[in-house]
Amino acid sequence: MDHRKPTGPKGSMTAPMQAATPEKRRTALNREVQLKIGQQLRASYNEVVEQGVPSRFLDLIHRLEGEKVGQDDKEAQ
Amino acid sequence: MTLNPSVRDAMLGAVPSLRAFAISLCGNVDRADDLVQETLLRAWANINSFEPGTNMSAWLFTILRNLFRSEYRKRRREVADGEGSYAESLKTQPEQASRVEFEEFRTALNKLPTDQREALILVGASGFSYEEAAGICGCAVGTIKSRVNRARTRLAELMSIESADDFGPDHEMRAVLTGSGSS
Repeated sequence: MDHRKPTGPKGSMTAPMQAATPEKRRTALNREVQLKIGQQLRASYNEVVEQGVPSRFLDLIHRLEGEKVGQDDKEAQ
Repeated sequence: MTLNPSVRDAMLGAVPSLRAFAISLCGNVDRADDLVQETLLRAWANINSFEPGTNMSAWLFTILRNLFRSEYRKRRREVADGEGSYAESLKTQPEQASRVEFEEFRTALNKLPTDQREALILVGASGFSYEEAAGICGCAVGTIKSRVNRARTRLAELMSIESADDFGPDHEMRAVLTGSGSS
């Protein structure tokens, strides 16, 4: 399955550059995947971060500020 | 006595990343927001135990993480999917091609065990140090490091499998282009 057919446009660029060993190729592939993972991770996280503070939480804090601070766990069950 | 405005602002300031963390834990936006709300309530009620000058964000993350572990874990992500509502919650839709990748990534991320996922998010996205992440998760620094490593390895496996088609001729071509330096 890891036998790669040299398909695709060949043109004149068929010269094997730097004789990429399978080992090397795997390392490069792995690095590429790790890079992608890092990017995706931050991208999906930042999508949420960029939504800012939903009004629901602003309201909550304002409501809490209207109450006395220090009524520890008065309402907590 | 009113709350010190800087403390309040620090709490509000942490909300966006708390939500991002909660969503990655729950995989569901509504539940994540409930979790964040509960976290703020808990923090507010116990604000006296917060030491001024220490990291407010890490403190809130710790509360959220513990709440998730104690309560939400029982419900065991029965709405494990949640991707739909997650995607809908995004204001900016990524472009079609990258959007597919994005979905693949979310799916792969959701397949990780919770302890690995949270470690990876805290270190890889939230920007906490290994030490801070260890503090938040209540475990050793070495444990966090190995969780992050395992998470990365597993994600790489999952993503390679899911995008195997990407590594055809196109990938070879890219390797040629990048391998041959500038052109």
